Amino acid sequence: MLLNNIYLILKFDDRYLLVPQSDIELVETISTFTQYGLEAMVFNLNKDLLIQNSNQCKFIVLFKSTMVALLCEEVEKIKIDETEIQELSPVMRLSKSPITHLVTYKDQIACVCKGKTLVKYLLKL
Amino acid sequence: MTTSKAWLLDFGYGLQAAVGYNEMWQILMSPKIFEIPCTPKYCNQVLVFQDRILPLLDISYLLIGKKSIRDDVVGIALYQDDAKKPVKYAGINCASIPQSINVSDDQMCELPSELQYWKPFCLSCFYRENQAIPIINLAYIFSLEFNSLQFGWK
Repeated sequence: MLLNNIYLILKFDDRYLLVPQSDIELVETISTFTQYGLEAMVFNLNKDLLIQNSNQCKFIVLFKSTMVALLCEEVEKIKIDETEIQELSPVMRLSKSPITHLVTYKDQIACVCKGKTLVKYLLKL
Repeated sequence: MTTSKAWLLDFGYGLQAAVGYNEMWQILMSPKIFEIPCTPKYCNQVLVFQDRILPLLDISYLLIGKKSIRDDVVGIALYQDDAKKPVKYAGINCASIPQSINVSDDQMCELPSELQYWKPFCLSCFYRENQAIPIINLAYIFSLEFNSLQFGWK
């Protein structure tokens, strides 16, 4: 079971990812982040969690203890009761997948990932 | 001679199988389906049923690599990993509405060689209208053990 019930919803290309807030270092607009002069590996994903080149994203999310970041269209902080989060069915698991749980969110399904696992997945893309 | 009730499931492409009468809870027509990334192609969708998020299994894709010919008929199946554990639910794509049938002991047969692709998750088999119908082991097909065998990981 996940340990933290405060999450950030990261939305891009009609995909919702739910990551524990404690796994995120910072969320900034792309223009502000650029001013910091930080050299991060920035990933832009489509709904299949594969790299894309679209420029719809306004925000950049930097994962804790890494210089790995993800571009997002929307970022929202939410509190979720652990009982609402359901483990991904064993039949749906793949070893390369960063997704561990699912939850309903705004009539959609959000995929729950731990920050470290998501970073590991991104670095293998 | 004992007779039992079962559900006959049609997956299209000539693929048919059965599950126990108590293993099919409900049939949903055109439920809202959601795709989940980084999942096996034969089970890359879910649906929400009674506040649960259920995996949706495409048996024709699993067996012969062809997507289900319909996505608007979904059987809600029940299974138990263990008699002491709670019942679990899962969705199965069907090509038509499942049919209630009676199966008697004298219909039981071996799984024919041409249907060996059913073997990993076939409990037993019976003849009906000159066709061998495998009975699916639902608990196994939805298990981590079966998934691990498919993808060679644990």
